[in-house]
Amino acid sequence: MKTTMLAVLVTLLGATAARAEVTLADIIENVRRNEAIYENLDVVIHSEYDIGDRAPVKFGNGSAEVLSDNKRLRYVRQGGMFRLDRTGSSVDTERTVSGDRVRAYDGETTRGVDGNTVANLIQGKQDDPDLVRPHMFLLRDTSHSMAPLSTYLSGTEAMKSHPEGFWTNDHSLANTYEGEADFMGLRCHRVRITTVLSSGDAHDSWELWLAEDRNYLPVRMLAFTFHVSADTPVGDGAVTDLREIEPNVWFPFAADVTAYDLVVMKREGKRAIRWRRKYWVEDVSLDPHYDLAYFRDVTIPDGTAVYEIVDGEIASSYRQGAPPTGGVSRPLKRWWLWAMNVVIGILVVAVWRLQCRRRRLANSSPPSQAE
Amino acid sequence: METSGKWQTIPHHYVMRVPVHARVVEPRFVVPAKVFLRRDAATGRFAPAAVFVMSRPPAGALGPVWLLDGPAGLSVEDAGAVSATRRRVRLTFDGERYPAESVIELAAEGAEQVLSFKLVVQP
Repeated sequence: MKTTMLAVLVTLLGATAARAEVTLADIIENVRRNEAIYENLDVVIHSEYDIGDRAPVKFGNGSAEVLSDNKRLRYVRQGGMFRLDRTGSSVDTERTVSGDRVRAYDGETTRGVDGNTVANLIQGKQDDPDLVRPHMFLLRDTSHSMAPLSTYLSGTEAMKSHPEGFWTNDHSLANTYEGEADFMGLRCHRVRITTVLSSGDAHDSWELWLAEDRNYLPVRMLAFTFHVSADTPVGDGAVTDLREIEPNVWFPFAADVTAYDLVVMKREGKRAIRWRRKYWVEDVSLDPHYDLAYFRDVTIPDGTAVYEIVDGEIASSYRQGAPPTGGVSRPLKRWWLWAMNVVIGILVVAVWRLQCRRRRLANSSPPSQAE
Repeated sequence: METSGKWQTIPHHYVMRVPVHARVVEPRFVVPAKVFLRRDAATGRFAPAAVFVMSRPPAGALGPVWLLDGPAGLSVEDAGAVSATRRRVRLTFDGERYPAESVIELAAEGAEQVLSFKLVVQP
């Protein structure tokens, strides 16, 4: 009898102590829902980039390596609209280049001005590569930084179908859940995003540590390139300042990301800094209230080349502030005009040379005849 | 203005096609979808947790939230609206026996649908 009761007790304890299994699908869904908290956002971020103490790389194609880069950007996302204002510059071995940029979407048109030299008026929404997603903070320097983390975690098809996924057909994703771990006292879920080549070989991988009690924000990132090393990261990053901006809502206020030199690592087995970037947040709010004009009015300075883009194609172009030339010119039509001018020019030259030749022939008659 | 030369000056991402696709999103949902309740190492009791009840336009703002169904020992306290689209809800659990995983159902003033999330109690 005692034994039976003990068995029942053990069974009951076993039932209460059973540990539910965590899956990648659970984590993706938790990330996706937490991303919704940041749907409306008004944030000011600074970023600082440098290449450490190493000498700049010399490229054979005439381009110069960027040595440092400092930018400040304000990004506002509100009710599906957005506006980004960025100022700053980057320095290479030869010159300083402006990083100033404005881009805004008012629900109908995306208007953007880059460095006061080129402006685009785009039909529809086209977000900026510098858009801010708190869950992608540690992946801002990657080629897929525009997509939401939940989409990136969801795999190839999700990335292909997302407007900001920009996924290439010859690569696929093999993402995995790697279990729990602690980082700086935070309970984290480790996930891996692995890019697989068409050959079937895994090429590279991001390991992200998502903090369970911090809205599943990634607080640590490790980057692997498998042909260099499967175990030693070729890059890493961490959120160094995480703040509670509202009860139970956290935001990464500072982060460091470092990339290591692949050649040095492969050849010498040690880590030398290739580049590093620091981010820090000046201000953030999850409740922006701007008028429609804020997302519509983008000042295009006189002299700026303006391109109107419809369905991904340049539909027209003009120079801001230039006197009208009988309506908006169409590139195709202008190309024909240019070709016509060339043909006419060739004909004029040919006729002129023919006349000169005739005159020369007339003048070269025998002197006896002229006399 | 010469267009042939200027085409090259446009960053390529400026001229990419703008795809449009439909995405099904719930008008109201709980954040996160799966809540992990863990014991506080200092007290030995389960640490309280919080969830958000979100409401996306065109769904209107939600009123107070209350518990419809969940394991014995679970308490749900509406902590009020954080913004027009979000309410915060506090969870506490002091049950002795519990399933490893259960579905919690909430109701909210102004919402006809039942709002649910999964609760995982980590021993």
